[in-house]
Amino acid sequence: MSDFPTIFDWLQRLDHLRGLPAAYAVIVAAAVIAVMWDWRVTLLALAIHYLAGTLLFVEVLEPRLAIVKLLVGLFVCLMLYLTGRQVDDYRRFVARRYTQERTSGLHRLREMRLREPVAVLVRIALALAVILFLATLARHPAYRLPAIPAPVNLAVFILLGLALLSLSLKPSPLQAGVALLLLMSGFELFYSALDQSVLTLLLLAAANLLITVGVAFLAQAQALSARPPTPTFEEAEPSPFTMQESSS
Amino acid sequence: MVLSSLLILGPLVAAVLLWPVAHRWPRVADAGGSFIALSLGLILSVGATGEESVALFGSAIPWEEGAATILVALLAATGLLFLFSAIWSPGGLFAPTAMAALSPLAVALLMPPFPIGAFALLAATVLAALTLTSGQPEAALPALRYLTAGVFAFPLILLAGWIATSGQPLFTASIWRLLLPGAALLLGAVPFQFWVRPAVASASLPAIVFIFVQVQLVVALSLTRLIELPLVEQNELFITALSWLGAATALVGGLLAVTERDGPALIGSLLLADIGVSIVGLSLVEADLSPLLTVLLVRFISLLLLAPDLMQRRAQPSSVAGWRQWRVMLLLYGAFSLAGFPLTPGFAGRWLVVQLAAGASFWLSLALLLATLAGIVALLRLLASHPRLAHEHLSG
Repeated sequence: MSDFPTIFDWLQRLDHLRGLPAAYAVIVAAAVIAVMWDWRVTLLALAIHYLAGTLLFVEVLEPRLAIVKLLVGLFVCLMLYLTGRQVDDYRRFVARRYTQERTSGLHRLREMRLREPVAVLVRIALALAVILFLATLARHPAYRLPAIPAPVNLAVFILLGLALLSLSLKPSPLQAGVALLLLMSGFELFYSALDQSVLTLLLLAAANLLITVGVAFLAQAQALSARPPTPTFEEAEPSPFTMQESSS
Repeated sequence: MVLSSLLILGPLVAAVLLWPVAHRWPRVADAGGSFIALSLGLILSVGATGEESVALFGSAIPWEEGAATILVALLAATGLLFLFSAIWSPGGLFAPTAMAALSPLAVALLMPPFPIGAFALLAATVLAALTLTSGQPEAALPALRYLTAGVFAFPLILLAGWIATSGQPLFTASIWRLLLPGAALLLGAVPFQFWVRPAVASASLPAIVFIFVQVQLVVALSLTRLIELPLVEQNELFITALSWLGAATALVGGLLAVTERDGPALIGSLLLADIGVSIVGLSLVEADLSPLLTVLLVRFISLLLLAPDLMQRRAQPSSVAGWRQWRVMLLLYGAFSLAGFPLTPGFAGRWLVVQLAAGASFWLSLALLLATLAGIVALLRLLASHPRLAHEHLSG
């Protein structure tokens, strides 16, 4: 048990990733969030962003406080994953019941392929434009944020920009919610350098969790609103339980 | 200590208890919510007498009589709203979500605006956004827009609060640049009005009233406290910019109302114009809070006048009861009141702000008058086309 590495051991092992490499990892993860539409890929990118972001938080916060950000981030990802699964399952159930749409494993895999290559190319081009513009801006002394090192400054600018881009491209509550969390993450990187009190840290963690709860609630509400009209008595189909019995 | 815990934890506990009830019996949950909100208001009005400080998060905050009075009014208004909701139930989870939102609203009223007040505003916005979907799941996207506005406003308000309280001379000039868009996002002013009309068009009326009266009242009072901080108060530019932001919002609302053909969107535009008037009232709080409070009170009355018809039609679209004539009259009266038509409650608030604005700037009062005129013209045009059609349009 005593051999289990502490936070400081982990930081020592990951020392080569601190600074600019961590900032680049955060930027790539945020770009993936802005470009990809599949919620599973988006959530994976969000988790990676939180992991790499912790190395940036260490630059502005005491490591034992920075780890709270990681824990909150991973918890947020878990909550959103469960919501995504529930919404997906509900949509599949509705599709199966009312439109006879195929929902096999192969069909789900097909859903994940690049269905709209042109749209993806446009998104990639937009994301690159935002990254290049904000990277140039972040280097300019007039736009340098106070109290934070250069890699964090770069990450803050690009996180905020990509969050805005992602929000403008994605109408679904789950995806837009991820963009909002990205925005919060960018802001926290900056604000943590200004106000390092434990109260603020806890309140920011609570804010992230509350936003996630709100997003999860709205994602489920939107899934419910996509429900087809209730069938009349004549059209009424057997309950889901009857369907499962007959299919099995 | 007991009172403050009751005010903050009471609504949260009530929300948890009402949640399962609302799933099965929404009307019972609404009635229960009404009883709890009115009881809390009564306890506060009796128990607050002689209270000197309120203990929150380990610190003793001086008890403000004004804040306590407003909190009592807030609880009473919410209790009344729950009662309306119980009569014409929109269904869904209105009672637990609105009840949960009361807790951060109380914190935002009682605590200083920075830092806990800013967090409380965010929490209230998130929870209030959830009320929009009560009984109307198709309002999820407008609710998301509102939530987005709240999340965007949060860093701006927090940073402005930090600068104002830490007194960093380097950033003093930036306060109003942060506070102005933050206020615009939270209040739905131009150019961030993107959530106002969709929310009005798709959400249930109790949720609309809750957000545009209760939540906006607390947001406006929190902003007032930020404005009263010395570094902000000294900035004349901020107050002027806030006034013109309100005037621009009122004008945009008026213009949108004139061009509107769809009933719920027309009510949304009238509400946008009213938000503009309330922002002008917010910028004129130097003397006292009465203009702002009057505008919000008459907005509450105007929206409640719309309630019987709008909610009855959504609950039972085919109902043609004998009460319908009265409901239509109330609907039209409420719409004219929202537009600030003379001889309606809305005129009182509108005229008070216009008079005060005239003291600050002629052009400001002219902009408000034009916005009011545009709203009235839009409604008269709809009414002139055909009274029955006007009713169909307004009810959506």
